[in-house]
This record gives sequence, C-alpha cells and structure tokens, in this order.
Amino acid sequence: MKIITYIMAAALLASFSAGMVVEAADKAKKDPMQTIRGAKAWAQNCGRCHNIRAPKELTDEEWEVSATHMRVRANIPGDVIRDIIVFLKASNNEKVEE
Amino acid sequence: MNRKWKQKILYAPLVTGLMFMSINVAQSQESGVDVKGKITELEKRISGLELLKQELQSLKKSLEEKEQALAVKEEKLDTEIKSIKSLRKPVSVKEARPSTSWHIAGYADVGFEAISGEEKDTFVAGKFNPSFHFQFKDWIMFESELEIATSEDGKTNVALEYSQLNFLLHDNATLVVGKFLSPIGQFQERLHPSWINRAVNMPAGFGHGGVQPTSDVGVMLRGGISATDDFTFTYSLAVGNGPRFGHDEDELELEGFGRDNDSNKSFGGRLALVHKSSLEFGFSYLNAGLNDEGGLKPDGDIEPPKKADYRLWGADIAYKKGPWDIRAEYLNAKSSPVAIEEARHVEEEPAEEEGHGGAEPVSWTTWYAQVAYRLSDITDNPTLGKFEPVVRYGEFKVKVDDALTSSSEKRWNVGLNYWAAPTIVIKTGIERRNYFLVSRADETRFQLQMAYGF
Repeated sequence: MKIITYIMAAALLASFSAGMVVEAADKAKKDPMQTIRGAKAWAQNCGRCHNIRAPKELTDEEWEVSATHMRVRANIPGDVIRDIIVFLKASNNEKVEE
Repeated sequence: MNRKWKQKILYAPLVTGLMFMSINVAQSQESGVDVKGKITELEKRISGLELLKQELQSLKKSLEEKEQALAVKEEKLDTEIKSIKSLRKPVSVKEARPSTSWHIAGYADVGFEAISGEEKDTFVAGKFNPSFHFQFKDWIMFESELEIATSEDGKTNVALEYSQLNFLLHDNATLVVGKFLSPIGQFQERLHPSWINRAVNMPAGFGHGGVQPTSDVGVMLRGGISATDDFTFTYSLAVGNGPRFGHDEDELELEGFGRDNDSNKSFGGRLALVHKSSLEFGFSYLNAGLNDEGGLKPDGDIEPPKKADYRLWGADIAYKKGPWDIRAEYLNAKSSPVAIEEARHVEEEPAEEEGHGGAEPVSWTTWYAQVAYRLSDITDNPTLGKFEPVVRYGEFKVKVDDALTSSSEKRWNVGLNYWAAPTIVIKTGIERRNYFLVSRADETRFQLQMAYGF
C-alpha cells in the first residue's frame, strides 16, 4: 500500500505543474524552429517499433490524438511530441491549384 | 433716219446700263432682307445656346455636389466595413476547437497455415483489433482496444486487450489507470500487433502459456526524459493485481484480472535508454505474490491451497534504422512456493503450521533474436524494394522442479515480407519447432498472413 501512496503523491505533485506545461505549449507554438525539430524527432522516434506513417495519412485532429497515444505508449516526452505534431500538421497539407 | 438710229444706238447702252442697275438695286434690296432674317435667327439661336449653357452649368454644379456627397458616404461605408471585418477576423481565421478529440485505429489480419504431420491445412480467420482513443484537451486520454476473433469451433470471442485512462500530468510523467498492456519487455506492449510483428507468430515463450505477462489492472506511472542531447531515459512503473496460478502447474495466468484474489499487489516495470541513433536498451522487473485458496474444483478434485512468490526480470535491445530492424529479448521468471500459515483456533490462541501446499517451484526462461532487412536500400526497383527477408531464432524452457516440460522448444522462423504500404504487409514464413523432449514430435509450419494497421 505504501508504494501506491507514493505513486499517487508523486502524481498529485506532478499535476500541479500541468498548468505550466500548457503554458509552455502555448509558447512553443511561436517557436519557428519547432517544425524542424519535429521532423527530426518524427524520424528518430516514430520508426522505433513500426514503419513510419506518412503525415498525409491522418488529419490534423487525428494526428493530435494519435500522437498523444504514442506519447504514452512509447514514453516520448511531451515537448518532443508537440514538436512532432507541429511537423505533421505542417506536412499533411496539399497545394491545390485554384 | 440715220440721226434717229444714231441716237438710238447711243442711247441703247445707256438704257441697258440703267436696266442692269435697276436689276442690281432690286437684288440688293432683296439680300438685305435675308441678312436681317438670318441675323435675327442667329440671335435667337445664340440666346438658346446661352440658356443651354446655363442649364449645363447648373447640372455640372449639381453633379459635383452629388459626387461630394457620394464620396463622403463611400468613406463612411469603408470605415464601417473595416470595423465589421475587424470584428469578424478572429472567427474566420481560427476554427473553434472541440474539447474532446477522438480517433479510431487498430489492425486486422487473415492468413493460411499448414502444419507438417497434420492433414489440417487451414485458413486462419485472424483477428480484428479496433482501438479507440478519446482525448480531452491536453489533460486526459481514454484508450481501449478490443480483440475480436473467431475460435476454432466457430464462436466469436471478444476480449478487452486494454482499457485505460491516461492523465497527462507533465511532459515527463503520465499516470495510467485501468487495464493496461504489460510494460515488461518490448514485444508485448509495442511489437505484438500483426502489422508491426515481422514474423507471423509470436516468439516462443510469448503469448498464452509463456513467460511474458500480457496485461495487468492497476496504476502505472510512465514517461520519458531527455537526459542529454543524445539519450532519452524512459520509465514505466506499475502496481497491479498481478498474475495467478494457472490450470497446469507449469502455466501462470498472466493477464490482468478485474479483481484481485489477495491483497498482494504486483510491482514492476521497465527502464530503458534510447539513443538518438534509434538504439534502445531496456531492463524489466516484476515481483508478485501468487495465491490459490484451493477447494473443490469443477472436475471434482480437491485442490490444496498454495502460495508462491513470483519474480521476473528481463533485458531487451533494439536497433531500427533505415532498412534494418534488429531486436533481441530475454525473460527469466521463477515461481517459488511459500510456506502456508494455517491458523488453528484452539482456545483462541493461534498456532502456525508450515507447509508447501500444492505449489511446485517452476522456472521459465525465453529469449529470441530477430533480424529483418528491407531491400529498398540495395535496389532502385520499387517492387523489389518492398520485400523484406526476416530471420528469428528463440528458445523457451519451462522447468518444474528442475525438470523440463513438454512445452520447452527451440524455434526458427524464416520469412519474406512484402510491404504493400507502410501499414499493409503480406508475410510468408516457415516456422520450425524443435521440442526439447523427444516424446514430443517436432513440427514445421508453413504460414501466410496479410495484416493491415489503420
């Protein structure tokens, strides 16, 4: 039971910093290097277990959810996942001639 | 007469001249009248033109006034349009984002298998594993996966692979609550889906009756930390209900149970270092208590109570770069019987009696090494480049009281995969199973499988 208590206490402590994380995410949106970092992280992390999926396979919203799933499953740090999401969103658009 | 004619001749020009003069005078009198008329007419026209000029001037003045008024109105309208646009700008630029986003993923496979010595070549119905992901903002994600499969006798089996709530506490920490895939090792949690697994089957010792735990119910803290520019440290630490004794003495039930049958919780997880070159080292550990109260079994036998300590440790390595996919994993588990304390109520004073109950010491070890190589690195032919040869070798040993059981085996897998797309693969393979006990016949399996991850 002590172990569970310790884990829950650690989780609660960590939750206090969750707000800071969200703030950090907002700041990261304005970082012009984020797409480049994301491309690098995408190549390094997304092929560790399976073949890399092309950015155009999913929509922006689906990538956000799918990337969060992989953040948990593959233990990828949150800031790295945000970089990857920015890269995927920037890469899944097609130019359409009007 | 002559004189008269002479006078006549002399007067004739005079008369003629007078006549001409009278004609000219008459003519000049007539033209004077016309000029006057024309002058009058011209004067009338000039006055008409003057009137027209005045009218035009008044019209010009009126137009100028209207133009000025229009310019004022246009300026006013421009100002109003700009103010409306500034109000509409945030709405048209940014689409409202829902609080909950979701995504359906998963995989499915079908196949064919022929086993040597058996005349039971068979199509394999395979599995359909849909997984559902629901995310509330950047705080919580719920995810769950079902496994739907057709059994050998035609029934449809549905199993809950995992069902977990992920609390995204921090960039480096996520709290997982519910039923989750076991974080022990690398195969079960990350490689077992058929569109990821390079061979048709799992390695020996993985899956039902093996060493590798499949899932657990409890809580898990996990995450990754960028330790340096080159290395990322990852951790998954879990507390759960843990495994139970199986029906056979050499088997454990290693999936997550909805309720625990004792208060002993399992504790374990995996720590790993990931290099930026995609080289990964992992170490796993699991400690749990096994408990069976015994009693009357469905087959009529009376089973004695039994207890055991269960410890597992493992190590794994992976390198996935370019065309190479190289992996190896080792797992070692032991179940050690524990003395059972039996309380006897004699004059309200408890006494203890020790015994081993029905449990036997059992050990399980398994390892495998696997290499897959995508031909795209050595050929420019787009079709040939989609082929991927794969070789895997592994051993699985189960010992009860240091005696090997019949499930112990060496397993070879040789296969050739064709990747139609990054998530669609057609796998062909030969699987050779050499059992350690001579009493069990070796077998060779010829396999074909198509898997699709979506």
